[in-house]
Amino acid sequence: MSLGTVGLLILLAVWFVLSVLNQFGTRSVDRLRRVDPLQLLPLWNFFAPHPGVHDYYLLYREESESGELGSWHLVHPTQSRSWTSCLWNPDKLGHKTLSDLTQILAGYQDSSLREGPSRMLTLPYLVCLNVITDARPHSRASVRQFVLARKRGLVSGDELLPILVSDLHRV
Amino acid sequence: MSTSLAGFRVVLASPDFTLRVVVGLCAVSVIIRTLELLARASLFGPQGSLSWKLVQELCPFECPPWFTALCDGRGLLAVLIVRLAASAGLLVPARPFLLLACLTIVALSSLMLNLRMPVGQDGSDQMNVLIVLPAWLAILCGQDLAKIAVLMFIAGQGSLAYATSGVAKLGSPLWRSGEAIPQIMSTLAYGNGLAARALCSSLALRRTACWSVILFETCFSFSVLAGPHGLLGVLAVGLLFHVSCAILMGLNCFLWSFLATYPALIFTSNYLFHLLHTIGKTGG
Repeated sequence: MSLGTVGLLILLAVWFVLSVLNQFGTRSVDRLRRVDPLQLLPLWNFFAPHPGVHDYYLLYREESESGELGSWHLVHPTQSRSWTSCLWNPDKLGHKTLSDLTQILAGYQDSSLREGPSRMLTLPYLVCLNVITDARPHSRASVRQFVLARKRGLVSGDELLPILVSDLHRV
Repeated sequence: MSTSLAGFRVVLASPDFTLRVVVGLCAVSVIIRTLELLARASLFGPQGSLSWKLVQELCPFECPPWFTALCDGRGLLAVLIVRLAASAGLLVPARPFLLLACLTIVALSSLMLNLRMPVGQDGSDQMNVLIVLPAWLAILCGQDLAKIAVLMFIAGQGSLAYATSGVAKLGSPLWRSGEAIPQIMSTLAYGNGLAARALCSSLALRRTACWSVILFETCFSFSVLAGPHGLLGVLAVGLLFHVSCAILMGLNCFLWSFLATYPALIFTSNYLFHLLHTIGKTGG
């Protein structure tokens, strides 16, 4: 047995043990996750224990020069999933990104990062602002506001519930 | 039936061949995913939701300029195109050095993408890394023992994935009550209106759906010990499960990534069976 193979066997054994430990949400495991920027330790609890039962929506509106706020325009999602998504589903990238950003927002222990002015420095806020800045203009207004909202699905007919509402920003 | 089953087992008894099948199936997932990333390349641009200038905040260390060049604009496009070509190369029965070259590119680009995309990745990306990276190291080592260990590692990760997911669902009141699948099916992102309406119309149907998933995922890890017929039966159910997830939920890459672990599971089951048989004979 070569030295390389011995090294690989040890590596695989350690990797598998750490993967098993990573499935438990303990504090020491959280520390483990923080030192895993390459995301080599998997988390396999798909859709459990709390399955994602919401869709996330990003909308924006414009403020006219007279200070009047316009109607909301949807940036994401722009279309329903087609039947071909079993083979080809590029839109899941956008859905998953917005969902992950919402999880980051929900994970902030400090509530001021979710609601106060300091929320403007958080990654979810900056990403949403970045996206709506580039959205197609509906008027000559240069001031915009966005809202990140969630809604239960097709059957229940829920209303949009705001998660993150921005200030007005000049774009 | 039993002749074809025996043939199937003999073919997958070679670690080299089995690893190639595993890598080939995984390559299909990588190809689809890479094409999808290329199709949504605007998300990685300066105004996209995955703009590097923003998401690099989640990178735990200062990135060197060469890495930033690979993460932004044309650099990322080049990485994705090279990754696409290399993963296509994994589907061709090529010479070992070419396989190693393609696998090196796919493994390194997977690590790079894991840093580039701290958000937006899913379980199929995780499984692809867990297949490609060890497979690359095993082929670098070149010894059969290394390939056997990697196949067992992949089989272990596959079993762990199903077991964790099943146990987590078992602990969830929403899953146990049968309400989880109809609610997931109601979403735009992972749902299907027709399935959601059908499930909402019958409590028995939604309870059966939820408990079928819980039982299948929880028991999956024992499939390696179920004997050849039992294992193939469980894997057939697994295939049906992932095809359903692809059709109803749009989880297209999951199908290929998890299917890639199945040859490793068959190999591991055979290997353990022969090992126990040999030990039994020696003991007798």
